[in-house]
Amino acid sequence: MSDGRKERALSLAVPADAAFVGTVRLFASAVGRHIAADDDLVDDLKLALAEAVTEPIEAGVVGMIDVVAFLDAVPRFEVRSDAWDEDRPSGDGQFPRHGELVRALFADTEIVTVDGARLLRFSLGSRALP
Amino acid sequence: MSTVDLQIDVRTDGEWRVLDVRGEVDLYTSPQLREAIDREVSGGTPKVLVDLTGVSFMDSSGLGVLVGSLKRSRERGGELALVCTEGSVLKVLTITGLDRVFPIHASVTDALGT
Repeated sequence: MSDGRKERALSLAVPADAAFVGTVRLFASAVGRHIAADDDLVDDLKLALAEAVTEPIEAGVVGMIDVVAFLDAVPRFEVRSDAWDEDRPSGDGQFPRHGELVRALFADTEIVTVDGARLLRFSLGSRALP
Repeated sequence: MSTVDLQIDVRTDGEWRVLDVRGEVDLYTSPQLREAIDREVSGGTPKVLVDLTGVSFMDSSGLGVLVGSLKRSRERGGELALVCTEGSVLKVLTITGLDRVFPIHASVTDALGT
């Protein structure tokens, strides 16, 4: 984790490996404490970022996954991985799709593909911070 | 790396097999949960109770395991119920609508008494 003061961002890069999903949750907790989020919001951040990194892992993406927290007035988050064919079902396909769950937590969630990279983004929006 | 392992203790209480699950359920640990539940479901135990009171985190990987296990249990004429009282696990069950799919009890005592 680095504290890029100039760009006001915290970032984490992990291999696309299930063993590192727990590391992403630790990162989410640290960022949540850094922005003085309450316990409920920290729990939501942990779930959202875990879902965001789980999806590319299940899809078979290789390489690294970048998780970035931009510490703007309204903090926002971005998870970047290599893109994949999203028509191909990931996981066991039972329930639910990860992006939908993230969107249920953070309504402005968007998923875009740019230059072969897949980005899932959301912000804290109207979620209150002290 | 994952910092919290999943611990699952299994015991018999009357006609129920009770799985006491503790830790965090994610893509890394959910296969362990699937294996433990499937062992009971495929072993002919008609009633399986999964106590999630000690689970501090569960994502859709864990939900997928529970849904799949519920389906397999029902196909065999069995039951699969959960114990979950509060916190992030109950929240994820609620926002996904699974609180209306699973029988959810406030305690093991309550579940076994029904």
